Amino acid sequence: MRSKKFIILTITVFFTLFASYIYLVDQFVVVERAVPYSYRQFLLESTETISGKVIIESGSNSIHSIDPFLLSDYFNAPVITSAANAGYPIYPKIFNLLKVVKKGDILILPLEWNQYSYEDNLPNNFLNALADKNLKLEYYFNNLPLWEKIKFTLTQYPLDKVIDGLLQERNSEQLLRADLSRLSRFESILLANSNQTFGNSDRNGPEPVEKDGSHNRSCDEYVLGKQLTNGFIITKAFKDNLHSLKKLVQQGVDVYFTWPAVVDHQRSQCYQGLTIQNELKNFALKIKTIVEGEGFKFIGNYEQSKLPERCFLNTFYHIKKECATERTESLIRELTKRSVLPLKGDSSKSDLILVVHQRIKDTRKSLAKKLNNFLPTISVETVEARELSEKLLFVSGWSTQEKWGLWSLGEKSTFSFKLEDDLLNKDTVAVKIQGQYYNGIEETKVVINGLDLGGHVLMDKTFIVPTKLIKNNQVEVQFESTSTVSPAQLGRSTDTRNIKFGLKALSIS
Amino acid sequence: MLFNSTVYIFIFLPLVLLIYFSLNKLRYIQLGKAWLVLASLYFYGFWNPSYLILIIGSMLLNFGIGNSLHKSKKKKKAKGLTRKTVLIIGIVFNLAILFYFKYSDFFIENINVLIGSNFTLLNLLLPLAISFFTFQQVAYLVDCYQEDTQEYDFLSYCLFVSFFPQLIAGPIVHHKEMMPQFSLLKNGFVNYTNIAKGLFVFSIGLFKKVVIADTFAIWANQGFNSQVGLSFFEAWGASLSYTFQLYYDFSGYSDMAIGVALMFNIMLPVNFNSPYKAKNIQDFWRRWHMTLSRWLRDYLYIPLGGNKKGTSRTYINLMITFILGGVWHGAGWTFILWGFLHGGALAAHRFWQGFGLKMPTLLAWMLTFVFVNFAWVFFRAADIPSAMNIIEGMLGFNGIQVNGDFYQFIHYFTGWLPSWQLVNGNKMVGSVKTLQFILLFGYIAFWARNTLELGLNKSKFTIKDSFIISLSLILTVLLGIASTASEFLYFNF
Repeated sequence: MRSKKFIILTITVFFTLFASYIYLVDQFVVVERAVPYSYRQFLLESTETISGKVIIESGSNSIHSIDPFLLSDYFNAPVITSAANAGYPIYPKIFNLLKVVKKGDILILPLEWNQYSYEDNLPNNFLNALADKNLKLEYYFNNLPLWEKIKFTLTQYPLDKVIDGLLQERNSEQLLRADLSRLSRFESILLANSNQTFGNSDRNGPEPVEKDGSHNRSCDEYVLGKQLTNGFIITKAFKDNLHSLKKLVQQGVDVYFTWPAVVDHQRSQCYQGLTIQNELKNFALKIKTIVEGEGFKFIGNYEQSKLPERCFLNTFYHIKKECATERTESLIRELTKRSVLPLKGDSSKSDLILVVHQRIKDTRKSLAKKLNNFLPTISVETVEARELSEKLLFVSGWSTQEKWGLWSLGEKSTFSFKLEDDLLNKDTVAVKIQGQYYNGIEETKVVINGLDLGGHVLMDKTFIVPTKLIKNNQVEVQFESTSTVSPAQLGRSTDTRNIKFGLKALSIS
Repeated sequence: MLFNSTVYIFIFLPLVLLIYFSLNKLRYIQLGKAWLVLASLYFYGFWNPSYLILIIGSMLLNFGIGNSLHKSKKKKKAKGLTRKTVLIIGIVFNLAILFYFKYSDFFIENINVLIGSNFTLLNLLLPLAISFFTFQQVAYLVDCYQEDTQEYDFLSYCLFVSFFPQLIAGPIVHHKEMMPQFSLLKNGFVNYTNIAKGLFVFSIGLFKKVVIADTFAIWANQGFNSQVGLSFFEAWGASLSYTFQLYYDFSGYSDMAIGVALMFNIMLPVNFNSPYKAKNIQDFWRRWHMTLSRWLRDYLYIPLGGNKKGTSRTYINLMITFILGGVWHGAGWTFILWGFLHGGALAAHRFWQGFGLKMPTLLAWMLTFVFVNFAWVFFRAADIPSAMNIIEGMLGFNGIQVNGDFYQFIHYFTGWLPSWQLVNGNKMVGSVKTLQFILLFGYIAFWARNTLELGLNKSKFTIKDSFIISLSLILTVLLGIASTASEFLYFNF
């Protein structure tokens, strides 16, 4: 080959390989999940249509220190906390927010101290979780715009992590099934209408001290460890984040900073060390000056966010639910002082719940559709208890598989399955249900492929289904139950699931 | 700026090439040369701009002395001084600067120990490449004195000293092989064959550095920094890791230097020729850091009398040459001991040769490699006790400990069930990965064709070569994410 041609070819190969690598990372390493692993992320993504909402983003301190009901009442708007581990970098969080914010939204950042002193290299727990078996943090990558994805892949995502991600054994069907079952968990969190519903914590202790450094380090070492080791420095990474935050401002979002909640423990008081007393005031002032210099407002001062020993939950950054109320009240006072006033929007907490609930329903439908492609077909046979989860798709309102079968949960329980072609040549198909009731026999309303079959006792019941109702070989069965009850209500155990009917087998003939 | 940094590969180098060839195409030949000097000085000053004063001052002074030696060719005197005096002043000046920056603390430390004094250390920052450009310019002065040079303009001289591909860690070039190339008009124009060859050689060097040497570095550093005595396999793992790290690092650097120079149509001398294939220690020094060996031979060993002044004097000359060669690498007793060991080995080899005996080739090769490996321990260790710590481990004084994986690996391939002590945890160099790396890249160093054979003599390029180059460049970017580009070992010398 002639040299000039060779050089052109080499350049072409180089860019092709580069592009292939980026494609590989995007499509086969950090695979996008149908449902994000985290409830908070699901909450955030589900509320993208709501304008005039308040989002709290930071580390886990904000999960524990915000009372969403109080803040929601103050702002006259729904409040959600989308915070995650404070060790994770801020910039993917910003791009993540950019996908869901609307004009008129408010973002509050009670950043933890280490977030002002981020280093350039990303922490391992973040990098590992991008493409681990459960793709726990895939959304931080997948929600980046294309150019940021390319930049991240080539400058931040180490090759060994990419290889680890690529070698993960992942099964699309299992991931989708896990997504479906996670939706049920999300639904129960949502319907609980508690702090957790809005991304916060309901934990009020007492809990053992977490063995993450809270057990053997002082509060200062725990919350300001990075500064005590590397100096009280505001890093370039944080300053770059400030520039990225302006993108949110450009979209009409009001961004406010405030200080993180820290809590004393009987073993160690916060902000009491000699170095901290000498340095922290200046450090906080430096932070405030830089942040306000970029046009953002800083709310309150850090001493106000220090809580007494009685509020300690399990780390120096985690406070009890009862103290989250005090802390939120104090935050509200400071917000009022700085004229951060209630919103004039017309969204509320209940709107948010409705929107998220609808999202759960829609997602469930689309997951069921995808999962049906993986289902094996059923011929003339009896699907025994242990095979139920393999051959049937339990779309909603079902417990996990137990040896004897599954319990229906709540008022509506749906499952589906696929029939073999041969069975569809006949006019009808017989579907036999076998099972047991948890607390007294009652009729259950049965709907098959939209056909209301009325109320029946399902312990050993056969239904005749016309094949003309069956499209794409798929049969969807829905049970509607009344007077469900939990073992806890009956005093039998602490299980709070509302149970009705236990499916043991399904036969087709 | 590092050859293995993305800024160098994707910005600096393409930009310098583009502007250099464009200026030459527009017939601004001198401007093109000036651009190369400027780029080289920027490259040098990228680490620490204050170093620039030193290198520019050194170039000015040496050029002046060289010029004065030229002009006095026929007069035997230069500015009232004899030519020899001028030469001595020049050499003393160069060595004094080198001594001041590189050896003064070592000298003070030893004086303090010797006479119990308490002189304060200067703690000077070693200017980059000082050993290389000093030797290069000393050679130039000697050649001027011996009337073995022609007169060149200052710009060409600056380019000879500062030409960025070889400035930092060699090869140590000779003005005779560089100046004519810089002056050759056709070298100022794009030669795609040279660019293709250069790119290929550069990418091989890059792969050696980024993928191989930097991986061995992890285990070598772990082993040599260990605070506890290493067991047998750990010590061998650490020493062999360093042996291969040094080879792949330095020869990788030399490949990159040669490759980049070739893109500018400049052929640098080859610096490595599969040194670990050597079958005796003399052969090793003909293959390892060849331009340094050449310098030591031409400007030290031969002026000392070489082998022309009798047997015992030959041995003494060898010892002096290699001890000074050791000192050139660094200010420390470990380097002196390393030089002494090599000088001794060369003397022993010469002594053996005197008997006309021949050793079986395989045994000779093994003996040479094992000796070189042992000697590198002194070269790498922070001090002599640390070196002895590794040597003791290699000799089995600290027992044999392995982890489960390593034991299984040995058992799987040999069927042997040795009674070694099994320890928990991920023992550093007792890991299977280290062993696999040593076996694979040892095999390549011992038996595969080297860059010279693979790249420089290459006449045809295929799509496979395009892939090799591209993969090498991509790996540099991707492996550079986890750690910022690491320095080359010879930058410290």
